[in-house]
Amino acid sequence: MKQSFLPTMGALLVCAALLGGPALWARLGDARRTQLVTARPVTAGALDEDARAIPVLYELHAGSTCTDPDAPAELPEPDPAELCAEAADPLAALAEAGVISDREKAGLDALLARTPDQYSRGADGSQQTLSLLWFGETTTAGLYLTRQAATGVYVSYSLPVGGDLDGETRLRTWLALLGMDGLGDWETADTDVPDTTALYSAKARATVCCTSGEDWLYLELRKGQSTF
Amino acid sequence: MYPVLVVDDEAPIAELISITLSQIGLPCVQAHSGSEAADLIETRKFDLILLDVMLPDVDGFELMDYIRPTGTPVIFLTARTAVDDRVRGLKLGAYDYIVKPFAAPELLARVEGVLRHAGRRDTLLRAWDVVVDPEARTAAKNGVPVPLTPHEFDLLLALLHNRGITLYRSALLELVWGMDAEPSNRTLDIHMSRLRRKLGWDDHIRTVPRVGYMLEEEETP
Amino acid sequence: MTFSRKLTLGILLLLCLTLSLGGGWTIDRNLDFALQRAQTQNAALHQRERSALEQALRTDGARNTVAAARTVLDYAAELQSAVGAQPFYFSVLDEQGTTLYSSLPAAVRYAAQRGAIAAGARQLSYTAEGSARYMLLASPLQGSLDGLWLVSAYDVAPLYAERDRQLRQYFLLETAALVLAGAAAALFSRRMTRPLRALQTAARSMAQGAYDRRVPVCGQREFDALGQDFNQMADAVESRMDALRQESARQSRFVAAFTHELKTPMTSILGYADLLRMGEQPAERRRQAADYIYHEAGRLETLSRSLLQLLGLEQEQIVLAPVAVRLVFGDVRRSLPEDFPATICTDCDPQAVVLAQRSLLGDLVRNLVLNAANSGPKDGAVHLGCRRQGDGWELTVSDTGCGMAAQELPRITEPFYMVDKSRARRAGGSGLGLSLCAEIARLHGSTLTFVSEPGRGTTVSLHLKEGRE
Repeated sequence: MKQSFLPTMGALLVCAALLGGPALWARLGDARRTQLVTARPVTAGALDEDARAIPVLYELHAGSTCTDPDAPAELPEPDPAELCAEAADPLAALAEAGVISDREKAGLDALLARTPDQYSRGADGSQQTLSLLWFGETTTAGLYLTRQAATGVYVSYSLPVGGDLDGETRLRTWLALLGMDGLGDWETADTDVPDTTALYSAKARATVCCTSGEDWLYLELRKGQSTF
Repeated sequence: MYPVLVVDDEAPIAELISITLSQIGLPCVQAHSGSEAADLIETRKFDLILLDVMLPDVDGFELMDYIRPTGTPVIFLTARTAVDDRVRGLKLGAYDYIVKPFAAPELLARVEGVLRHAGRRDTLLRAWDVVVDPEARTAAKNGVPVPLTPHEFDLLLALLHNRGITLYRSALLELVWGMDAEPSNRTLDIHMSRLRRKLGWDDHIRTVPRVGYMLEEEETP
Repeated sequence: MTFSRKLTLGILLLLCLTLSLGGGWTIDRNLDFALQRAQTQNAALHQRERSALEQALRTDGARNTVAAARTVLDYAAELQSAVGAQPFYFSVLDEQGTTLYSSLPAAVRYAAQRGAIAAGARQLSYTAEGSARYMLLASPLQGSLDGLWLVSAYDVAPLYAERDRQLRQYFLLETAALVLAGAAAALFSRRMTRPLRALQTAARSMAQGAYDRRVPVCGQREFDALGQDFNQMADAVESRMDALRQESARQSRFVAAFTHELKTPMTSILGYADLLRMGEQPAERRRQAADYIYHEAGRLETLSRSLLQLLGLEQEQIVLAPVAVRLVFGDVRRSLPEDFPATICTDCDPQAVVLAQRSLLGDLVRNLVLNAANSGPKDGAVHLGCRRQGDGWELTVSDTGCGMAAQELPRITEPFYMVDKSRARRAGGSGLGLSLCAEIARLHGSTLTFVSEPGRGTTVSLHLKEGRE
């Protein structure tokens, strides 16, 4: 009897100890959980953090598209020389980055040397526009630049030169200029329109597109995934 | 004083018992079968019955039932050593039992014992004017007690048990002093002369030269 | 420990282990899932708060820390009044670690906030203080002022509380389950092992000598098979015991009879020898004594010779060869003494040839002839016969003597058994003659058959196989 008593008690004690098992496991788990640093779930529709850190992209998404009703549509008459000088800087940056070729840059410089026939500055929501026009015998050359008011970064160019580089090259070099090429997921987007190239980044949730012809070029940074 | 009935189907054994008992003056009647024994019991009276249990026609134990009413004491003779047989016999009313093979002294001792116990006979041995009580180990001549040493008494008994027979010296030595003792012949002669003197039996105890000693029988008138 | 107890405890332990491991794992996983859901939810909430705060900062156009702090304060106040009682725990820190605003509870220490900021905008962390548990998310606030971080804290203590509640509930459940299972297992295993206990009891009583114990059927197939085997074994043991007992009884009887046959002549020999060496006996007595000694010794000699032969035969295997029966009869006739009281009449088929051992068969016939002669045949003859029986031969020895009663017949071949003791003794018989004949018959693969009628006579017959030349 005594011989079987000990193993029986032993077995029952083991059972009792095992009953406390789940609680013990939980405590051990808690120690682990409270020290945990884990990946944050990605909220659907949120902008990637890296993209967010780039001011131009943040401004792109956060900026309002509503026109301030109080702001005048057209600002007071600017000085054409001033405007040309203002336009020269971004264009120089483009040429230096390799978005436009030297020949194109020369063409633009030539244009800017002349006084524009029409010139204006505008505000469109959180963006500011700059427009210069030169009338010619047969053609009219126009220069339109749009930039973000908050960051001062130019987000669209419409230039009366073109034809030297292919669209993708222009876009890639432009991304480098903008500092957005670090995101690394700029992919070619489908465009049904000929002469148009577009790159889309899921992280940035933005598209850069380039439409070019023989002597005209259009570059734009847009929010979201554009259809053409 | 009635005779002893010896019942055994083996004639030699019955004869042997008969001879031994007659030495001490007990007459015997032999029966060699159970039916013969039954007839004798019916017609005659006996002081003692010696009964062999393995009789051919009748079971010795059954014969007991027949004997019991007569009140005659019975000694069983058996070759079986099984305890339950002996107990059975004793329970049925036998006084004692003897296991075969037996030696003459043992037989005599049993018989004397039973006769004394049953009060059937006195077992006193008588020779001339001497009376010997084997039980009390006393001897008296003309009523006067005669002091005898144990060895002397045993010698006397041996002589009385073998009246008329010349006992060999070696036999006497064995009977009185036992098988292991080694007394000299001189001892025997000395004891015998002392016995003669004490009992006054110089004539009755005869020396047979180079053979032994004999106690004479009394002439029957 | 009994088997049923081992079974019960084993089941109990196994159940306990399974339940504990399973329960512990499940409840833990539940908490992890709940925390994951909370993470997703809180990440979205945090994103919204972040956007709202960024928008507020943007609108106010804060350009320095102080202005930003004011903006945040305004925002928090507005939130409070708009949403009401539900607390939003957050703090805004700048790069140097200055706290612009904080509505975090005391449980969320400054070090934890710094840790959350260090973890970055792609991760989240936890902090625990006492029984308080908070999930921390930190993200940079984008805007005109660089280096501002929003740290949100979400209370996950309810999840832990729920987990604890589940643990308690499970504990009770497990205890109840174990108690029930234990009881059921104990009961069940006792029921199951009842047939085993019955078997155990039967085996034990058998070991103590009750060989008639058997196990009843109980209905479980495995146990029934075992029970049947046990019963068969018990039967075998019982019959073996009976056989041994009979054998032992037979041997006891033999020893008892032999002892008696031995002691009786010994008594005579010893007694008479003793008589002779005591003293000078009368001549007639001497002669008789010597005569008895001689005859009894002769009895002993016959007894020992027959016994040795009998014992020797029991050990033996003999070689059988074809033997002509008439030759055997001739041997027997020649072996008889001159003054044999009976005449031998032979009626033997001359073709009779049997498989036998010549001398042994002769001994058999001779013994039967002696017995027949001793029975005192009225016509003074012993008849020997041999005729065809089936595919063998039948030998017969018959007489017209005193015969034997029917109840004697089964016992006559027993050693030392004598029908008429006195007659046998007179003839110097030892009671072993027929035992020897029976043994010889057995060695020849046959048995003796006795037909007898008291007062009319006896016929002994023996069947032997045909022996081809």
